This record gives sequence, C-alpha cells and structure tokens, in this order.
Amino acid sequence: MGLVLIKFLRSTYSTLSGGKKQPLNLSVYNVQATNIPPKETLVYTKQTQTTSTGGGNGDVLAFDAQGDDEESSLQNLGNGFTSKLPPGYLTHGLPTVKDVAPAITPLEIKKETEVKKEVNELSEEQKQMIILSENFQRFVVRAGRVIERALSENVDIYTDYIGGGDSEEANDERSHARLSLNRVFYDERWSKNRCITSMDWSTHFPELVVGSYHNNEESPNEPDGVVMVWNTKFKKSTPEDVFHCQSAVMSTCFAKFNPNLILGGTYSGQIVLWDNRVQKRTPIQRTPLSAAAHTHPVYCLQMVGTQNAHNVISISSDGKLCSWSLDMLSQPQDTLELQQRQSKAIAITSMAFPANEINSLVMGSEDGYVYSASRHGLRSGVNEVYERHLGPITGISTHYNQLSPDFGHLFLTSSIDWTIKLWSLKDTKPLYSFEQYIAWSPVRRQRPPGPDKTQPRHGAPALRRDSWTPSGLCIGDEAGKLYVYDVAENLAQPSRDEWSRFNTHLSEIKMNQGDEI
Amino acid sequence: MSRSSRLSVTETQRKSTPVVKKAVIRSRSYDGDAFVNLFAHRGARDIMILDSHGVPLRSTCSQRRTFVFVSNLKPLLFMARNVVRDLDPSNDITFMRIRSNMGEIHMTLGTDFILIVVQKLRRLRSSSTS
Repeated sequence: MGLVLIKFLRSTYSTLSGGKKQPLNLSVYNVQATNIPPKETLVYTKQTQTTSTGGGNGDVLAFDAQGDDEESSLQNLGNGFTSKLPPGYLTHGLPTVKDVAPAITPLEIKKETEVKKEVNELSEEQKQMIILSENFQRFVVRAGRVIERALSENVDIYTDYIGGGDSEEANDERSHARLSLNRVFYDERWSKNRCITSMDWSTHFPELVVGSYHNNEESPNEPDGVVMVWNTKFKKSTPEDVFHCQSAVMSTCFAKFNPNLILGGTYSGQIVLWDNRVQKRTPIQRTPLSAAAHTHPVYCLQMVGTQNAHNVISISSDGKLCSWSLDMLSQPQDTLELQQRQSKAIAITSMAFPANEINSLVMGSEDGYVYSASRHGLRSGVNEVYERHLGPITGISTHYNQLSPDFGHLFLTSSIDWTIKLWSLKDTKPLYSFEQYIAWSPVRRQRPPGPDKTQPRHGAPALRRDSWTPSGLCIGDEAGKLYVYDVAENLAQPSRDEWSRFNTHLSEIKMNQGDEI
Repeated sequence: MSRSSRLSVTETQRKSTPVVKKAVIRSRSYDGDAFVNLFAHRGARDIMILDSHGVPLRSTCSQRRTFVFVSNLKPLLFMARNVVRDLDPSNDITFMRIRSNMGEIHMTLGTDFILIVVQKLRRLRSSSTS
C-alpha cells in the first residue's frame, strides 16, 4: 500500500518536474498544495481495483492507472477547454462576426457599383452607338410608320349609337353629293412650293398613290425632283416613302408587275428607278445621258405588256419614243423617232395606250394636234393626225374596253384651251367637245368626269393632273397638294343600261354632226 | 453615400442627353426627329425608345417620367411576349395598345428595340354629345 502510494507520488513529481522548468519551481509547490486532495481521492478508488485483481495483475493495472491519470489529466484539460470554450467561442465569435459583416457589405457595395456601372455604360456610350447604328434607324422608320397608322385611327369603340343622326346626315350628304373631298396630302417639308407633275396608282396595293413634284424654287439646295408615295387607306398625313432625284421628275408610275419599284422620268431626260426596300432615297438605277436615249424632258412614261413580257415606254419632248426593259436600263431596247411628214419633230406632251394594247398608241402634242402611232409593223411611226386643239394638249386618255369592244376606239383629250374633246380612232374629227378635264373612269367606263369638276372650289389653284382610282378621283394642283375625292356610288358604278344609253348618245351626237354638216 | 452617388448618376445622365441629340442632329442620316415632331403635332405626348432589354435609349420626356413608364411597362412587355411565345413558339408579338379614359399607350416591339408612344385621347363629338 505504501509502495503504491510512493510510486504514484514519484510519478506525479516526475510529471510535474518534466512539464515545468526551474524558474517555475515555486509555482510547482503551490500546484502540489492545490492538487493533493483530488488525487488522493482518485488513488483510493484505484487501490480498491488493485486489491480485487491481485499482485501481478496489480502491476499491469498500475500502467492502466497511469493511462487513467493521463485520461483524467486530458479530461481536466478538456474540462479546462470546455470551461474556456464559452469564452473561447465568444472570443472567436466576435471576430467571426466582425469578419462576416465587412465581407458582406463590400460585396454588396461592389454589386451595387457594378449595376450602376452597367447602367452608366448603356446610358452614356452604348446609347450613342446604338442610336447611330443603321439597325436603330431602320427600326425607327418602320416603327414610326406603324405608330402613325395606329395614332391616326381614332376609332372609338365606345361610341354610343343611340344618337345616329350624324351618320345619317353624313350618308345623306354623301348620297346627295357626287364628289366629296376625302383627303388632302401635303407634306410641309417636301410638298412646299412644288407643283405636282404626275400621279399614278399602284396595282398591287390599290390604296397607294405616287405623286411626282417639280423643284422648289425657294430652296435651291434641296433636290429638284421629289416623289412621294401616299397611303389613302390609313389616315396618316405623312408619306409612306419619299424619294429624291437631282433632276425634276416630270412623270412617274408604279412598275406594274413589281410591287417595290417606282419609275420616274426626269427633266434631264434620264429615267430613274427607285426601290422602296432600300433605305436610300436616291434612285437605285438610272438610264445614261446619251444620244441613244432621251436628251429632252420625259413627259410620258408608262408600262405596257403582260406579267412575263412587259416594257417601259417613254417619250420625250423632242418626239423620241424609247422602249426599255427593267432589267437593263443602260440602253433602250427600241427607239422610234416620231416625226411629221416634213421630218419635223413632234413635241409630245401626253400619251396613252388603248387597253391591253402594246403596239398602237395615241399622243397629244404641244401644237394641239393628236397623233396615233404604231411601234412595230409596216406602218411604224405616226399613222394619223387628228384635228387640233387651240392650245397644247395637257392630257389624253383612252377607253377601258374590258366589257364592250364597241367603245375601244374612243379616247379623250384635254387642252389648255379649256376644252375636252371626245375622239374616235376611226375619224380625224372630234365627236364631241366638253369643257372639263378628262380621264376615263376605270370603273365607270363611259362617263367623263362631267360637270362635277366645274364646281368652284375654295381658293382654287390651277389644277394640273388628275387620275381615276377604283374608288375615287385624285387631283394634283400646282401648290403641291394632292386631293383625293370620293365618288358617289351611283356615279361610279354603271348600271345595266348604261352601255345602250351611251351608244344611243353617240348615235345622237353623230346624227347632230351630220345635220350640222 | 448611395444617395449622393445616385444623384451624380442622374446628373451624368442628364448631361449626356444633349450630347446625343447633337450627335443625332449632326448625322442627319435619317429623319428620326421628324416623326417626333409629327407625333407631338398629332397629339402624342411622350415617345420613348428602349433597348431589347428595356433600357431607355431616347425619350422626349424627363428621366423620371421615362423611368416611371419603363419600370411599369417593362414587365408587362416581357410577360406579353412570353405569353405569345408560350401559346405558339413560332409566333411573336408585334404591337400592344393600352387604351384608357384619359389616353392610350402604343408599344411597337421589334426584335432589337421597343418604341413606346403615350398619347392623349381626343374626345369625339359623339362621346361629348352623349
């Protein structure tokens, strides 16, 4: 028992001495004083174990006891850690909190700054780049048109129809009047001080009308020739397309079999071609200025032929007729000198082909005579000369003989002498003389505009051009305004007995002339 | 700190807009400003052009008003596009119109840009009479 006690004491002394150095001996003594009671208690418990096992086993157990001491010491240390852990955790927790807080805030700050930088980049630099890009400009042009159409259609679906008197009055007014003004197309920028030189309607899009304008004398820096396409279907007041040309455009027409091409005859003699699919406003093609083509203003321009075989016919004021193919505008396919019997050039001012006719045509000239000519055949050139107007002929129009072949030989001419004459290809004298402008109605195929156009209009400027449409009448004046009139249904649509009445009327006219003679 | 930085950002944005206008005027390659003037004449109150991501590029009203409109209309535009796409993947939205008592908003959605036009509503005679 005492030996065991001595051994344990020695072991404790050795551990203490090994663990600590000489300057700490004083503290060691103090430790002895503090450690004796708990170890004595532990020793008692172990003595009981050794007595139960035996002497030899006691030695082995002694080693185990040493291990137990170590374990106990470890446990003590652990206890110390556990006792220290709350303060240790606190100490560690504080810096961790401190670390986490600044770690999050600078990230957030960085993220915020990044977001702001992105916005800044888009708002400052990329904005300018995007705005000046071609894609942006194309979008603005197209989206602007869409928005304009939507803005112009102020259809109020909440209209209360209980008070329907207005619509009835409108109907009464329309039915009462044979012509009612529908639209006035005018653009402050491009129509100002430009007189309208020609108009044409599209066959693919019946609501589109093209008008060519002369030069603006008040602004010489602007291009001389302007062509604008207007839309009569939507109520937008800006043109669908605006095209330019360096020379004044005297005549224009839609390419009959191509919905995107527009042709123009210029004052310089060139024939230009625009494409509304291209963003440019200048022509994509033009004919050369050479003696083989036109060298005088082109006042007559028309497309004739069918879908697979069509030509552009142009006549300039020096009496030269050219036939062109849209695929090759560098050289005319065929030329024809329109001369009188004395080999004198004819100043042609207007031209018209009978319906579905590509060979023979009628022309009005500056000296008042009317000529008929053929492009091919044995009698190519001028065939007939009809009696003259007292002034230059400003318009000529042939009958649309789609239903009745009996009236295919009729045509009308208008002149500066304020008369409109009805002619027949079979006679060189006019059948009748009117006092109005002329154009055969494409729907009402026999009636000229008639006395409706004699009604005075508010501030009537000189009317320059007119053009019939399937739904109305189109008039252009010298101030650059393009008027679209609605024609009453009873006037536009022919009734069943119109043909016979017209025939009777023609017979009466002939009989009257016979009586006079 | 954040407030001052935001103010500086708005100031820079305000400063940048006249530069953009000058640049546009100088280029003269298209009549973009013409339709702006025309819209004003027609009764359009505000015109805004956004990026495909909803970032405003050009506007005829102030920055605040633009941001108010964009912040409200942007989710609506994207949701509308998603609706059209979900109903038919080969289809795509082109135009939206919000009509109210006092005015209406027209939105043209292109593949790259979005055009928003805010318009005052003119009262028709029939509505005024009724």
